[in-house]
Amino acid sequence: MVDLPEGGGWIVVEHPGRDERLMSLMELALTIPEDDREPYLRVACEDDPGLFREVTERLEWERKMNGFLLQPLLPRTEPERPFKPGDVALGRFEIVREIAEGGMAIVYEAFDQKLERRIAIKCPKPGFRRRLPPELRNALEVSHPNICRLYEIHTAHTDAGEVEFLTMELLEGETLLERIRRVERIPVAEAAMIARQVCLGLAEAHRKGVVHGDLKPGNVIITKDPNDTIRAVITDFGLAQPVSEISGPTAAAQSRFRGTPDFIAPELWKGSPITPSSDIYALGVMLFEMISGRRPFEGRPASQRIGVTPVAPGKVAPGVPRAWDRAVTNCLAPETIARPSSAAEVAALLQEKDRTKWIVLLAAALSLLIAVYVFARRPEMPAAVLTVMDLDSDGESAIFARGVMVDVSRRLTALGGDADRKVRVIMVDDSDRIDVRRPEQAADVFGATHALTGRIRHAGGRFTVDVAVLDLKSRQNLKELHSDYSRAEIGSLPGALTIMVAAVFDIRTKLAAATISQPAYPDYVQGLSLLKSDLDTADSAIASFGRAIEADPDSALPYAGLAEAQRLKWGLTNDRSWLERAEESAAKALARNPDSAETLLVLGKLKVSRGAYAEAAAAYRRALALAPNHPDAHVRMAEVQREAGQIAEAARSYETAIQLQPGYYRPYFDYAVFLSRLGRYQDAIVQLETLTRIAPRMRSARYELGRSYLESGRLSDAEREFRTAIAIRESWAELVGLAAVSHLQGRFRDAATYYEQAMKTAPVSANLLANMGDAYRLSGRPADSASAYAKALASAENDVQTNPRNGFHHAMLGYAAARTGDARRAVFETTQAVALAQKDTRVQWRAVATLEALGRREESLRLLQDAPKSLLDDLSRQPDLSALVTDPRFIQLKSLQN
Amino acid sequence: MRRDLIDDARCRPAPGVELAARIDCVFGEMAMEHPEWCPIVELKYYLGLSDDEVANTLGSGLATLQRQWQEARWWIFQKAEAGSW
Repeated sequence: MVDLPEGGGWIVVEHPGRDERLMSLMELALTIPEDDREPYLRVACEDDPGLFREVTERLEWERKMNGFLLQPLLPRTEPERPFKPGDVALGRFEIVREIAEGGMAIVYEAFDQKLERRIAIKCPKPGFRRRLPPELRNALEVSHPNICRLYEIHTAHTDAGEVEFLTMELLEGETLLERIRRVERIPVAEAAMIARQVCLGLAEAHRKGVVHGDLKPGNVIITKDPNDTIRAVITDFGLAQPVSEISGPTAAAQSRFRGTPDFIAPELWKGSPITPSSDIYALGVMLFEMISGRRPFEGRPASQRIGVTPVAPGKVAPGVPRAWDRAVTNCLAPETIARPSSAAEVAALLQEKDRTKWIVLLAAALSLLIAVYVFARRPEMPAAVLTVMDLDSDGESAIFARGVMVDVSRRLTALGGDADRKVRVIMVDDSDRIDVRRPEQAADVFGATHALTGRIRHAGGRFTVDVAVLDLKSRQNLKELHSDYSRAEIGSLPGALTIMVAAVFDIRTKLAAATISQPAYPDYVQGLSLLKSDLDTADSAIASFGRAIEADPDSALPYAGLAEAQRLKWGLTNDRSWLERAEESAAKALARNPDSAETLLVLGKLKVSRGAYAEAAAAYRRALALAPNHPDAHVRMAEVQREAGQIAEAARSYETAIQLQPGYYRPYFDYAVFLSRLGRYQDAIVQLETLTRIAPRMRSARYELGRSYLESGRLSDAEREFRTAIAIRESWAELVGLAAVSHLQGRFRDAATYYEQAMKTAPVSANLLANMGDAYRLSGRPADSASAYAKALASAENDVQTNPRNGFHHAMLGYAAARTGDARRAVFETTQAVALAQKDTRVQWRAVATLEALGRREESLRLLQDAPKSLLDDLSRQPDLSALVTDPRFIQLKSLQN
Repeated sequence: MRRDLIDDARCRPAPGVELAARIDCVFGEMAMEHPEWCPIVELKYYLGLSDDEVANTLGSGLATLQRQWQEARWWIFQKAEAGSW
């Protein structure tokens, strides 16, 4: 039994106490024939010759003592049986009959007179332990159709004193062991059904922090559910325990390994404690036996079971599906790290279809698509880029499919290890930005070679999934997954898809265990799907994550999603309380899983949003330590450095990001934005022109390029780029760009019209409102102008309150104050702005505009003493600043720059 | 407690009486050399508690208790072999 910390992630005790290991080895040595003991111990104690000597010596003691002192002076006088049929325990549980007797416990059928139902009662045998293992209390928490439901622990007063007993679900049917003995080999279809159910049950227990420790066919009962279909149920959860009597007369009978050394994982033979991974090993042995009728290592001594991978079941029996061979062999890997990390993963491996030559017709109804991009194959580069996108479709299925894709892309990104060298993941929101929606487009834009494509349909509470990894060149499917999931099972889908992609690209990195419960999954995925930048979906996303948290309060994932949704909400409403809520959610997510790079990135963004750059940098550094090649982490780090004024460091981070993934558009984009903020528009244009070659239909790249042209005075190039962007999809940003072009051309009326159009969808922004005020003012609409400036002032005040260390916010507040007649405040804020962001030309630009509006020419000119040429050029083009730019001192500054 | 039990055992035809009486003789020596073993031997041998009951009673780890119980038995066994009682 291993306890889970909140939020998942096993605490694996790698070095158990020496006494524990010593006694475990003693116990195991005593269960095997005397002749096998020495070779076994030599292998098991390879790493510790002193331990080998000690165990050997103690075995010699036991041999010589021959049971000395093991018979107590006074034999126990307790009755053989704690209960007999007809007894009514606690005036409530009528004992009907004895069902089974194990080494340490007896199981009775009983009738619960209070709840009027048939139940089973498990009771420790007299002479062993009168108390049930405390770990059992964790097992009581697990509820799953494929796990025997435990009801309650009671204490009865019998003649022998207090006896604890356990009430549980009464299961009628044969054990899997009995069935295997009866039919020798279980038919493939039936085996698949049983295996899947056992995997799901085991996965749920592990998720709740409960390890079985004694998984074997004798502990699986095959019964029928009310629909008369097979129901496989794992029993005896939480009852495995270290042996009670190491060398007593009953030791062999009482050992948890009695009679079944076949299920003991290699690390247990070496004296390590039980873990989920040792359960996975036992699961593998069980699957092996079900499908082949034999056990791996049958008849081999213990010394030959350690560090050896057994042959696949297909080698000892005919007709074993290849997926089973693979799944079973993985489970039976000698090293725990090489085994599947969860039973859900085993279920997915078992379901995998063999490779077929099926040609995919990409139907318009495709509801999901992941394209895999292969870069120009330079050896030091990652082999592939995986992008995730959702296709045009409607209804609930589309939202769900999109969410699954976001989840899968996150899982793949989080893989680390050799996955970083082999695959690059592009997130859904990225795909939205690039505006690539079909595999053909993906191939055209990036030279994609593979796509994970297919559909998820949702009807009548069932999800029908048909997905394949498609080779875009040969148009052949490399791997397919066709399956039907109930709502309760759908949580295992992203794991299965992740494994499928990992298998195609031969990724050997250990896949992370699922860390959210099945009931919470559909809401969680829906939330992910709704994480887009608009108000309605932000609210729905918050609600979805809320439901997911209710269903699984222990999982970190819905809290992390909630933090993102709340941050989005803050971005859309400018209401700072959302930022606080988002930080709380992120903290809860991290309390549940401190090692999520994804959550750390969200946390970092939140810290940046309120100006806590050092904390943000710390969060990003941790994220980078966890995922050194995360597509976003370097870029995010660069953003913090930029905000904190560490210009050279930020540039280096961007360049690192580009180097790590030269075919990935994002770092070019962010680097270009960074450069243009520094006034290095020419450098920005170089990055953006590269980018538009990579992603010709990326709207935001077109927009940024337009902006850079605009800033460098190439107005017609700018207008062309803005119009190209609008042709891809109209949005307020390009309208603002066209407004700016019009403004610079002195067409203030047109500018005002573009601003009005943009304002219909643009988020509230002080900058935009101020520019709109300018356009109104210059086109002779003083009332509209005053109203726009007043709104700009309010918005800037809010921004400054939210993030008091952002220089641009102060600059905007200064300008709005100047335009609304508060000269003192305007100067105060502008001074702060310049002090906070000394290199930011946007701030300097705005500061100059403010000082000019206030008629403070001397200060404008002083501010511009060290200004870059680009800024002076830009100011020269502003119709509004003609008085400044014709000042001889300004002309002198410009000529000095030249 | 030990003394009472031995007397109690003497009154009943139990097979371990001789042994119990002899162990009692080396108990003082054991108490000098390995005082931590005394309660273990009392609870295991005289009272016949199970390992985990003893571990619970003494508040020690199960494996540690088992190791000490084995060592105590071996120590007593060697005394017996040497005929020191």
